[in-house]
Amino acid sequence: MSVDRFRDLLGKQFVVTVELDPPRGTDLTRALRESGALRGHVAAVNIADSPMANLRMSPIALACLIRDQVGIDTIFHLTCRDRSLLGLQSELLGAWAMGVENLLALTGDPPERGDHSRSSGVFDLDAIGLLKLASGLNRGEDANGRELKGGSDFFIGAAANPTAGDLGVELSKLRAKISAGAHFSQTQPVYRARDAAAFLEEAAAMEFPVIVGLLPIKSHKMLHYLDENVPGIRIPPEVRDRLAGTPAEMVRQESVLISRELIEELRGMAAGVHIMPVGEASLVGDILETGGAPGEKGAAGSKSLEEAVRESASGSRISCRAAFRIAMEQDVPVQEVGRIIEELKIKIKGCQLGCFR
Amino acid sequence: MIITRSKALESIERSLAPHRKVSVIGCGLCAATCETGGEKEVRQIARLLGEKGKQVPAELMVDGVCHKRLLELLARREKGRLDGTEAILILACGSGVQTAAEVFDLPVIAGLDTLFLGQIRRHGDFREVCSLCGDCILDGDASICPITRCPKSLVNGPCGGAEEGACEVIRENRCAWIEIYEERSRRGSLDALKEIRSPRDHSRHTRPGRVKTSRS
Repeated sequence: MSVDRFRDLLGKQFVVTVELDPPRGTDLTRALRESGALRGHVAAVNIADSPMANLRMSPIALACLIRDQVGIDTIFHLTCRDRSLLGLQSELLGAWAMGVENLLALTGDPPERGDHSRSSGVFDLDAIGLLKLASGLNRGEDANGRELKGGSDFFIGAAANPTAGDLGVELSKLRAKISAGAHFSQTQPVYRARDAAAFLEEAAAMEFPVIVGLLPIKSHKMLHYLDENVPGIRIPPEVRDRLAGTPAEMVRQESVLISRELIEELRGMAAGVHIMPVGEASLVGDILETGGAPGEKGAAGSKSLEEAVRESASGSRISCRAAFRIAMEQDVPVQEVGRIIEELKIKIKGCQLGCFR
Repeated sequence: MIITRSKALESIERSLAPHRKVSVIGCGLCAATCETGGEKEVRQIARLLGEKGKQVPAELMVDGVCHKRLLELLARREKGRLDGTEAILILACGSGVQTAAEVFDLPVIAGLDTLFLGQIRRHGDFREVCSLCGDCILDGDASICPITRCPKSLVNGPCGGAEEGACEVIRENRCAWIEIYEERSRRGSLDALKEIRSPRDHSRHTRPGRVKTSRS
């Protein structure tokens, strides 16, 4: 399958990349469906490396599968958490041989935070060390400078935080990453273009492409969580107030609007945007307005509605809240979701009106 | 005990290059036993620094440079002698160096490399037998820690590389798992080896460690 290469698009157009989490198991259905829906709308799909130290399928394997089966370019994340100096090189050589050619070099979250806290965090290298390592492989040499039988030509990304409290520190880190071999950057979430402006100007002066991260906030709960618990994410008061003042069922839609506004503002300031839909890839379609022609919506729509219901149901029951969410996400009347639920012989639990349990 | 090794003089000199007046503090506990930071070593390095053109206003000893309260007392007591000191060379473990850096408002330089928690075999012969893993499995029947004494930290050993009882990684060592087997065999508790041990729990030792006991 012919694939438009991310590296060819970057710099020539305002690119959109989307981050997907691999499955927690071997079932590829969802990953392939989600990335399939993005084909033609985004320049590349990022595949996370057991994010937050929670177990997921190998990002290299999945990146390879998506590239080959869906026909969309992929950027696999590679962290220093689980692999030693030796292991990282071995994985990278394998990745190149499999035909995946873009990576985002990250340090990684320590295992203590994830679902396998017994695991050890390797951290032989950090992100900068990994960038140097991948650049070395690109020159055809290993970490000891020994010549390899066949090198790589990876297109290497690095993370950055354009809204970091101390811009000087962040910029010196960016320069270090560039000199270690980074070709582009994908950043932590930004919620207001002007918060990232100073950083983006400095990067532009170095002719270094920066793809700005967008993390749409889907609920009030998520807003509070990000605001209070996640280091490195700064939600400006005006965005926080705007979302906090939005009725709960409209928060997702409001975030879609905020994301669209932000994308418009960032055109001309950045090389592109990197959307992190956190498990809900349909959000990307809404932001990019990729919905098909009205005629197409019927058949395809009701099919995905059924899938959505099945996915949200646990066994033969689905929560009332989930049913409402599906109606909103799919932009169909709640009654329509009710009809599907009935058809599938699924029972509704936790009625939000308190009529039944 | 914490085992330390003296840094090469050239490396210490490089770290001290910007400073003329350098005081030296040694540790009367571990580093003294290792003969890397006792009174003798403090005197010796002071003399060498003198030969290199440094002034050494104070040569001090404390029983535990890692003990912040003791070090604060020393700092107060020796304020006069330390006067004019531009930097302090610490002959103690890394814990001591950082404690000194918290106590003295001066550049603090490490004179030793910190190696491991060790057993003293005999004078000048130290061996690592405990990794401070936070999850002790020594149960009385086989008091040999495979986490430390097996280079692969196998919990279900031996690895298959041992030859005539010798470790395949460090040939001069006996294989820890063969030693465990022999000890259990002697005590009649070989059955314990049939039980498959789960992988090591690294969450028992997360960095940086901290223990705070409350005294009633």
